Amino acid sequence: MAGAAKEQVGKTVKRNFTNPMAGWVLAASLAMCGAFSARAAELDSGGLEVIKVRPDFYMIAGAGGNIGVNIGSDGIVLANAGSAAAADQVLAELKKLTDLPIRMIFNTEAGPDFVGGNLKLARAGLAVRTGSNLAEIIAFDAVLSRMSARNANPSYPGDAWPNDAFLANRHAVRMNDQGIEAWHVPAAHTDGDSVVMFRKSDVVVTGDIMNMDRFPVIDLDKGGTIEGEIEALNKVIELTIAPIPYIYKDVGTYVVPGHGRLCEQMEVVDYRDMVVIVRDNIEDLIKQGKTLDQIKAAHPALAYETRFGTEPGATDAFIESVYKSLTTTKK
Amino acid sequence: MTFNKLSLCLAMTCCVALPALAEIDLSGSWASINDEDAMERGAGPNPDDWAGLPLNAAGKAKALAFEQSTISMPERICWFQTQWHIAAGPFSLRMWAVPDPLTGRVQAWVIGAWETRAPMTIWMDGRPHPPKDAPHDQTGFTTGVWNGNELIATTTHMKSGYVRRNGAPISDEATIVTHFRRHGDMLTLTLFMVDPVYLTEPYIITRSYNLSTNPVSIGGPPCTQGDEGVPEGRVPHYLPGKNPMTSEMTKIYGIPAEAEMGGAETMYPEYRDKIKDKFVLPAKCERNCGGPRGGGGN
Repeated sequence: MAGAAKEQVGKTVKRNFTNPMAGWVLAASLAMCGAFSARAAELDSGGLEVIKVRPDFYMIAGAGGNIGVNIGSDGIVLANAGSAAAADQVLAELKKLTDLPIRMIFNTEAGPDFVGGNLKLARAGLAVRTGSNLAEIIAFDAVLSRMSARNANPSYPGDAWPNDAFLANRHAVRMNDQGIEAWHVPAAHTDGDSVVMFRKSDVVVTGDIMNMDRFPVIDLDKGGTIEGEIEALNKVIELTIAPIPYIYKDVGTYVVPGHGRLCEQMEVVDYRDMVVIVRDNIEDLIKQGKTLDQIKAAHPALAYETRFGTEPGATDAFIESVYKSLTTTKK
Repeated sequence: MTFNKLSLCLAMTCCVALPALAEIDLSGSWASINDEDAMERGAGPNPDDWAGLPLNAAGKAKALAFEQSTISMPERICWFQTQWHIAAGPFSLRMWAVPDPLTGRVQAWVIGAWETRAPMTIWMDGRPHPPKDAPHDQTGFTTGVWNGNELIATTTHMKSGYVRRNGAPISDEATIVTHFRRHGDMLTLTLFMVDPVYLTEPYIITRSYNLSTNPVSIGGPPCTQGDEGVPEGRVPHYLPGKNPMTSEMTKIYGIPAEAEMGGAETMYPEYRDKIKDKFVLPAKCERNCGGPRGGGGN
């Protein structure tokens, strides 16, 4: 009897703990709590989220692509400018942080969510080297070519174009008492990508070679390739330092991705591994003679679809770009 | 009733009522009782044992792709487990309270670190969780509230990791809710894992601890990034359909392949009825034996 009662109690307890309905009520409550806290942060900044990364560095999210903001004695140095639509809000947020002028804007690529804000932000700035009322815009040469092209879409006025375009793999300046390096990463998301490292702040801004909200976009028409994407992520891993040996006492190098939350080296490793694994899966299916449709049907990115493929079409677009990149390269 | 009697009555009422709001002292060293899931928490689970985990299709695919040498990658040697390792690891707990220097009230509870898990600070001062785009770190971010004499802690902002140490994944969007219940010298933790990326339902387990006078260590040594044989840049993984471990549970224990792959239904007792005709009790148990022919390898 006692044994039976005990067994029954055990069953009751177990069923209570494993009741799916109770679990989902809990899950819903948690989700609501999370939604409220995130929403509160957004409302304070007119839809933008301003994250303090280091004492001299901020990340502005929600303005199109993420923006890195370094503030020091020389003024403001930006890594990306966000979208045109959000430029006024970005300026308002910068004004809350400092009265110092915008001195430089690095563009990590030519996407409108990264360069759209160039015009307004540059015009609100003050150049160091020329003294003009236009902040310097620094980017790899392909960004200038793309933005200034006759058929550029969207089209940009000259003041929005990079006025300091570089062709070397590395372009460095010293501002705000720190070295700032732009590293060109060839043929990755596009052919004009660079990652920007703020040495003293210990922050790397990647642009869309890393997008924490979705699979990377490999824009083949603009010179992107899967191998270049992997090499670019490897470059970011190389530039960053994990918090070793004191794993939890400090943080390592921060990474501002093109979209999504602030990261450290480990997230870049996770993202690189994801891209490599999906590439390997697709490559194996190509070797088996599968067509693109057959490869899509085989779900080679299944392990990551619920994390990076929730945007409609994101998974298929990634698979297709990897497939085309691999098959084009092998010709 | 005289004034004094009324006062006494009110005071007694307050005393009776107080426990509903009372905090309980959780401080001390708590020795883990590792009878439950001893193999999973100690030596480690079988490589293909994902039974009892509510993995979705993506979670199963990620688990199947997992190669154990992943944790030997140079970039991952100093990687830490998430706070779920409280449940998935074998270690004991040491807890202490951090007082607010001005008010003396408990500002936070802390669970000390282990060799492969960062400390957990449970903020009790009502501070909000960080915004959604804030970084996720090795500790996660945890807040706590008292529900009577039960402490309920909610952890968010973790890095991705494993719900079981054989590659069953949890994502960086996961949340852990931990209930701390103390019954005299026994502490019971009930952990709820919610992960919209890899789980279809919350995964819930309990762990028990005995109060101990032997102090539990509160931190591991600093990590050294050694060479464990995986060259830099190599990403170990199995291609779909190429994981060589997927038949181990069937070979060793006769457990059907569909059960070892996990899924929500494998959490529930009635699932045994569903697979009983497919289960074949091995003539001889070769490894980690339990059950009717277990023990001593019979």
